[in-house]
Amino acid sequence: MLICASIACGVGSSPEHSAPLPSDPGIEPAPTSQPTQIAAVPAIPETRRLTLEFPSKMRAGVEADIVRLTLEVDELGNITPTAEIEGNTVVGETIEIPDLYETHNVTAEARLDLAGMQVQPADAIYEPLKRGQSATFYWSISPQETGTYRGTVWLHLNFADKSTGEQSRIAVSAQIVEIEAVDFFGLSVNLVRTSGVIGSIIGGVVGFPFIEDIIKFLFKRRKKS
Amino acid sequence: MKKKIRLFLAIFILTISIALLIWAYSPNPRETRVQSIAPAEMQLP
Repeated sequence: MLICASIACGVGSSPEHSAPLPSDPGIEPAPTSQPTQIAAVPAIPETRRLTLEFPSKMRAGVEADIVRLTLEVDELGNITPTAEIEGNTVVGETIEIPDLYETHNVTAEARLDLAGMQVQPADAIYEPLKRGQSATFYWSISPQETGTYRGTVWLHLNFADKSTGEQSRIAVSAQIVEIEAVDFFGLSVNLVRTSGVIGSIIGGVVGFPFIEDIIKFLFKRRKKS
Repeated sequence: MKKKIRLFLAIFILTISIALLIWAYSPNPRETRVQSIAPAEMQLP
């Protein structure tokens, strides 16, 4: 009410009356909604989420598994931090970031370094990065022997200036992965699978004459209960 | 007596074989890591 009255009377034009004093009782502070603008280095104007998915343990010898790295747009990511306190919206500083997509071709480069394990593809993978689009990288890995394999998943961004063609590169992420390759008490996976199938057949044949007895036994127990 | 031994043998072989099959064909445990990357980390060097 006091603010409205002071604006109507033209008193609010002086700077000392534009903001209410914190000690004034009954006067709510005016919401700060005008963000400050600061110039910054060109950047990608999106908060992104990097998801790495890999098998922490796998069987050695025969099988392969997938390592997946996804660079997606984080929909919850706010470039402008905003807070709301008792109904007043306080907007933080807006940093005006020049859009890199407009001036540069952006390419995401990912590489998986995993010593001692077969990795396909072994070289770096490149994928163009567009506004609002995800980039996903897949590697097929297969350990030939048991043990613990350690490696690094690298993600770089390559920028190529559209006008000058100047190239630049930054490392975005380097994540250490640890994968354990196991066998079954020294037996290979193929042997274990074959033994399981053959054993099931033998067990079925040996136990087949008793199927009738087992069914009768189960039915009797059901009737009693 | 013979019937009992045969039944025990059948159950034993089946249990071991099924355990082997479960181990050999179960999916690998997977680990997922999520990392948020701010625009400041994706700017020109």
